[in-house]
Amino acid sequence: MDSTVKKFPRLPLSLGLVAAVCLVLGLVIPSDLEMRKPDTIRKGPGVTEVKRLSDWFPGLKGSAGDSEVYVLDSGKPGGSALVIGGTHPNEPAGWMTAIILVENAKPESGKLFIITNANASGFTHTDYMEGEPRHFTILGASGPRKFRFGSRATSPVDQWPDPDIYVHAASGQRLSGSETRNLNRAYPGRPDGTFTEKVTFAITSMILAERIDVTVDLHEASPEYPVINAIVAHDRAMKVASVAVLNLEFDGVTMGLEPSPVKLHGLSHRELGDATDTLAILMEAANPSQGRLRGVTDEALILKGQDPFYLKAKALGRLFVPYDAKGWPLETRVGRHAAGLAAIFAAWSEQHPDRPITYEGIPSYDEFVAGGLGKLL
Amino acid sequence: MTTQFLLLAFMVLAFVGLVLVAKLPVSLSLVITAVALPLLAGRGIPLDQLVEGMFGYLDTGLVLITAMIFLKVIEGNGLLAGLTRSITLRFGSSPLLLLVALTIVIMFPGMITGSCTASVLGTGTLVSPILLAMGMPLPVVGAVISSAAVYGMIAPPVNIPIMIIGGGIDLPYIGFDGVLALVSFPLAILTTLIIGYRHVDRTALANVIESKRAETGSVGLAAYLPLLVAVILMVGPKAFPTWFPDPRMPLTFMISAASGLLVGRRFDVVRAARAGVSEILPVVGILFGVGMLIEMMTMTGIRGAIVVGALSVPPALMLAVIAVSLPLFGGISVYGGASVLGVPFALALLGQNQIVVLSALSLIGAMGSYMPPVALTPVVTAQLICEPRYGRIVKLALLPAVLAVLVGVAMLVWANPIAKFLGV
Amino acid sequence: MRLPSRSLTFLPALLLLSASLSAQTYTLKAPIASKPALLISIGQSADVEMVKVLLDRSKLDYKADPQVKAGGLAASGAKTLIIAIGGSSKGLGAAGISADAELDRAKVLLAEAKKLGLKIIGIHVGGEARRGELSDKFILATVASCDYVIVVAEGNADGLFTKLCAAAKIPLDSVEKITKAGDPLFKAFK
Repeated sequence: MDSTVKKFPRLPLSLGLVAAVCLVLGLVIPSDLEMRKPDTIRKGPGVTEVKRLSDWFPGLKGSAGDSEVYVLDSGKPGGSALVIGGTHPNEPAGWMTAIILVENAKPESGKLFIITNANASGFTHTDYMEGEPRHFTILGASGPRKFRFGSRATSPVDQWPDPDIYVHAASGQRLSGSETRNLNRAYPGRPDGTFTEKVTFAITSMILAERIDVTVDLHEASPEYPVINAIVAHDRAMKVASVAVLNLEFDGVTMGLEPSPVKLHGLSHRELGDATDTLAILMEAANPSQGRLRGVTDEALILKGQDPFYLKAKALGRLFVPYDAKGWPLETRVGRHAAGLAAIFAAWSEQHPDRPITYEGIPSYDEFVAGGLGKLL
Repeated sequence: MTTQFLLLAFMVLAFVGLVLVAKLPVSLSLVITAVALPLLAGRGIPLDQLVEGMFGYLDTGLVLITAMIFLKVIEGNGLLAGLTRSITLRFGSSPLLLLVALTIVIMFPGMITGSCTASVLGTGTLVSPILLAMGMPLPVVGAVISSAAVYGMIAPPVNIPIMIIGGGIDLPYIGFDGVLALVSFPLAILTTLIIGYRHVDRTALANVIESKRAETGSVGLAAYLPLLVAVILMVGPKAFPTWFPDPRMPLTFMISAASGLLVGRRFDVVRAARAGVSEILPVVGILFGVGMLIEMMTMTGIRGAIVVGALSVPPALMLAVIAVSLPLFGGISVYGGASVLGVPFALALLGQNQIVVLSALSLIGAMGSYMPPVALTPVVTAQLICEPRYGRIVKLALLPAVLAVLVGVAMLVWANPIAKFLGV
Repeated sequence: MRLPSRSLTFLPALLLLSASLSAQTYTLKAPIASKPALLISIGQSADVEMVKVLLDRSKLDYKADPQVKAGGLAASGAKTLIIAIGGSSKGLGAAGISADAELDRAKVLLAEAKKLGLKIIGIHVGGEARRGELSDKFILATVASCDYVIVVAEGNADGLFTKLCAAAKIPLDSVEKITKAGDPLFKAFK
């Protein structure tokens, strides 16, 4: 088929090709290494301890999956909560909200556990064929802050190759092979499983050991996905979640509520609720930069969430969220997550007055929308 | 969106021009187009993303290369010839039965792995000498193998396009087996018969059977070891996922090939492996080029323009758009089409029975396997049977493929009644 | 976190306040429904959980059985059926039923409710997210059987509820927010 290649003299061609490959690699490798450097996360006034997942599952020690866990202990009695950011590193509002909490929240009662990079390996690469930028920069109060925009899945460097079919260990459910590296299909995890299953096993172990009352997994989804701007709640978490949705309405934040499907396995809101006593909740914001309908893919799309194609899709009735020329800026998405967390913890505290979870230092939704994100970084 | 459609037009023209006018290899033409596209869109040369796109098909490339080595090994040690002989002798008396049996044999690896390449390279090889012996011309043999392989990909128990679409709409892969079996097996057999049956030359077949019978070169049971190893390593992890280690496809082929060196005739394994790799390398090159091009199409917004454009048509035309665009996108990648177009289409059809809808979408999308520039299934088949022009295979497979698309569209129209009738 | 101001402890007070301040007038002029009520779902979305919170706060006498079948209506002793309308693929998946089976259940259930002489109040609180191909099926199947419909305005942006209710001469009240849907619902009861 490539018969034309044979017309060239062989040796010079081979040498030329090798030189070209070396040149390209030389240009690409530094930016690849850059992706492996963790983002700077500052310890805020509320952080009392920084642990790692290996503190609950030593099997992760020294591996790329040994994510940091920030503990914000009020020192006062109350409930305990886990906020998971970075399950999917290409859903920045989720992990950005976790970072905002670490750097700014001051707990008043109870204890907060915060993971900013749940799938730390996923932050070290971007998804193939998605044409995404590898970093984005926010102008923060302390100057420009650069963050990595990662992949939905664990890096192949840490777990490879994928099987044809991913069989979820606990349920036997079959998914396409690429889901093997999806952290949110690997719960409750296995100590002797894949890299990704070890990470989820550590998180499950931590919830059990610390008797965490409420777990909120922060995500984003594309605007054409039906479950969006929504809370997905395990059956036992429904009472807290439904009151939270109404709490949010007072703040002018419209939030949908969805039950965690019983038959869909491996997801945090299903498996953590089943395997532990925690109230398992997942929250979704609308992120055009991960959608299939998106147009030009660049840093601006991640930050502003404005896309003419999504405007068109909205007019065609193909979206499940409001969408106008303002788009879905990162500030708004983080604001929704921050307000969502506050509403969930308020509902929990109201229903469990003996175990409240409260903190201050996080602005309201309106303040985020008005540009409050940069002020906090 | 106009910008994106202009870029798309440039992309198609540049690619076609490079292949047809400049007579460059397909893989190189894809690479050049992929580099030119972001330049024209004002994005410079995004080296990181170009290299990253190439890796999109790394796994597929490895499967192709290792499978080719496996093939050369079982060809070299005599297993292939021995197997052909015994199948011909056993089923040779009834060409119709033989064709039906062979179709299912070709489908088998695809059913287990969800990949039509596995079918072509796995059992397609075994079957091609028999089809030739039945008197079929080379392109017909290629078309029969390609078509059965494509149906192997959608037949149960493993259908990866459905898993990909299901992943995008939260539908677990449960309850598809019945519908998929009802769709794939009759269509696969029908397709083989439409393409191949009239070419069966009974006297030629009888002569072949005679000569095979006279051959003394029986290979003995031990020679079947590599095939046995391959089947065990492919089926084991799916049948016993809790304890059977999954070696993945490339290692499966390598282990099986290694086991083939222990049995049968002795041969120069290094030369055979080199031959295998150089035969398949152009195909791997095309895949890498396609990966780069898709990454650039996504970055510049062309991918989004195609999806939004497809969703913009009035509801009445939606089915027509699905019938055309899904197979067209398959020309780049069937799995890619399932993810990029299949998910939005499934969302647009949420009110219909999802099991039937996804089965239909996977059927329609799978027909994109014949579509250039990648045309993975016929291209790999052509390499395998040494047919110089894969276009001839496509031409023969086209009519049954159109039929399959129509069946798929009918399934979309009557998804709910079909679901009720089948009880899914 | 300014917990007290957002907490639902003050929801009833806020509801009353907002009702008296805005003094919203409803299309439904006089109560039509008798207690006790049975809260069900058609479409199995979690919106039924939200309606539950509203009913809990209003202290209305009700039971909830989102998946009740026609046969269970008489036994429930309810005189009014409150239907949270809205489809959710996740919800249907959670309940292990197909959209078609849910529609079949709805048809039989609504016919039985009519036969038993129950008043039927339809309530759609899911807004835009609870519209589209899947949810609209349940809306179309349910609204015509209702005696009264309450909708959160965002879910009626295209006027579907207005059209359906006008055609069947059903009183329709539109409220701005979910939290405001409790008031007309409560007032519909004698």
